[in-house]
Amino acid sequence: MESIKEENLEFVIQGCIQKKGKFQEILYKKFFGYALSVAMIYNRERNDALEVVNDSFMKVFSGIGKYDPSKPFLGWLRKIVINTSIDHLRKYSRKHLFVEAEKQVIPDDSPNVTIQLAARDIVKLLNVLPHYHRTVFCLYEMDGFSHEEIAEQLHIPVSSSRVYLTRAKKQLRELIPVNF
Amino acid sequence: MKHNKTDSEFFASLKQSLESYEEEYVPGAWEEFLQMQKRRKRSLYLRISSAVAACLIIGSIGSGYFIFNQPALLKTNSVQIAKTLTDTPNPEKNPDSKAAPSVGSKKSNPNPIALLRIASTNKPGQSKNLLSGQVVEPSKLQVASNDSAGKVSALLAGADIQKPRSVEDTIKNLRDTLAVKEMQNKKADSQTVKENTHVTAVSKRKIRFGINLSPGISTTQSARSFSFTGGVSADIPLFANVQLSTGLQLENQTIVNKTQSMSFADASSYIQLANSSNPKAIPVNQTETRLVNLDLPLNITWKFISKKSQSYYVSTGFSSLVYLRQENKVTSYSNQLVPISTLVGGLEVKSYDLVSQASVAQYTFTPDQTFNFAGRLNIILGVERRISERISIHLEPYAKIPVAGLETGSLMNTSSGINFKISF
Repeated sequence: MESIKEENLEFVIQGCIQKKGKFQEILYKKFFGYALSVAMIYNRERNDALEVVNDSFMKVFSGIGKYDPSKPFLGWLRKIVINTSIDHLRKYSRKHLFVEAEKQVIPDDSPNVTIQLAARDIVKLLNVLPHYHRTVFCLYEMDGFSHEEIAEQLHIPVSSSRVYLTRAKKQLRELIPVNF
Repeated sequence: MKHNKTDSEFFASLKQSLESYEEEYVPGAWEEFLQMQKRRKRSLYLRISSAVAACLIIGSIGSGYFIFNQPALLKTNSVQIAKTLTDTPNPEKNPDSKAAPSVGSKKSNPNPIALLRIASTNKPGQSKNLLSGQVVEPSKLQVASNDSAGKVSALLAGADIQKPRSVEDTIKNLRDTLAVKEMQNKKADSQTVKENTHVTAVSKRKIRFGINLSPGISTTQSARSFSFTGGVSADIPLFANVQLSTGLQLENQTIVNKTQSMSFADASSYIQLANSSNPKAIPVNQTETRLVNLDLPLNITWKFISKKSQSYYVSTGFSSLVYLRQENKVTSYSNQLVPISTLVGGLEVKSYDLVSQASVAQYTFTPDQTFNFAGRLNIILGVERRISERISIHLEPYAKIPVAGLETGSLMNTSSGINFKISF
């Protein structure tokens, strides 16, 4: 993400509050990549992640008046993307009971940036985990949620959250030597 | 302990990697976002307008029922008045009768005959007041009620008693009016009796059952496809022209959703294609959902025209859905530019060819049942043709509008078609 100066960001946000399309476009294009990367961590399918990003930006544009400028915008956006991903997970939880019959994997030919590849590999690893395990792991390890908060967000018992985290970690430990 | 330390280091490195991970902007994403916003607005308008339409239909049914029942009430009142008048003892036939109606006891509805009596015994000025609707003193009314019926008759006939001209005219007018009204009421009564005979015959049977079959079209925002419904129905009469329609329908729908492919193998592929003269070359991703579900409708039907052989009706209500099976077939495309080198005059010329790669994923659901309560709004217009005493055929164009996203994937498909029904 290109760095955007604080005063410029405030100016853009003011434009978004006034519902000006051009400012919304600037904000969207500036933070799309960041939002997509967060959504990719929480969603298995890229299309789902794109849907989550768009839903998140709709929430951002409709609720930007409530944004507190004293706090970092990225944190606010991240929170919205995570909450939208959780909503998406709850809404489409049955979708993850699919039995995938056939799927052709298209090779990834994007630029070879070492850190990005490593991150993408991690995302691929996370894709192997069951959806709830992955979400609990990400919420706990990446975003510092407590088990109580996770349980509340995902509508599951606290004990389940602990179990999912343990299993996710165990699976990841097992997967790392196999894949790398 | 060592294990824990390794663990925390490992997950810390994972976190660090992911923190620095950032996707690039996908060209065309903003345009797609704007389109999505438009689609959602359209969907919202559709929901609001369908809700307004439903309210209007229900409102019109209610008001129509009220309005159409008003003349019947008026008719009943006029019949009662006429009856009261005819029940009044005729002095010519029964001169000894002492059963003159007591006006004083009916404060709210003074008997017209009694008013005539008072009018005839009072002065012209007073009678004018009475006839113009002013309050009559109870004592005067009592006097009037004690008069013999013969006197009234004599007054009405305009016999020996001398009367002021204005009173005489008024009485004459009233007599004429009452006579005309009585005739009209008799006619209306015979008409009502005829109509009622038909309605009673229809409403005698408690519940009418039917079987139906309906081919239709399932429409999403991006595509249309064929659907098929069949089942049984039951019509429970509530009032003369209003009935509750319910039943059990089995639906087999194929719902197709198309979205423009945003997946490109590299940025140059997108730019090349976006700049091309044929933007339609961007392939569309297609999700084909085959859905088998049970539909439990609960509709209110109002027959606005009800004749002996044919009736026309409008029906509205909600359907609850039970999903039995769902299959998703997702075909997605990715575009890639393939370099082609050719030698022209000994020089290598590089050109690019755009190749679309398709990937197909088939998802099969476990047959676990989901219940969607009042998930769809039904709007039906229908015509019923009676082919025998007990059997009727129905032709019903219908639209089933989703109130909320249906089934997995929040399908927003509107079903429409024509329902063929046989009821007995």
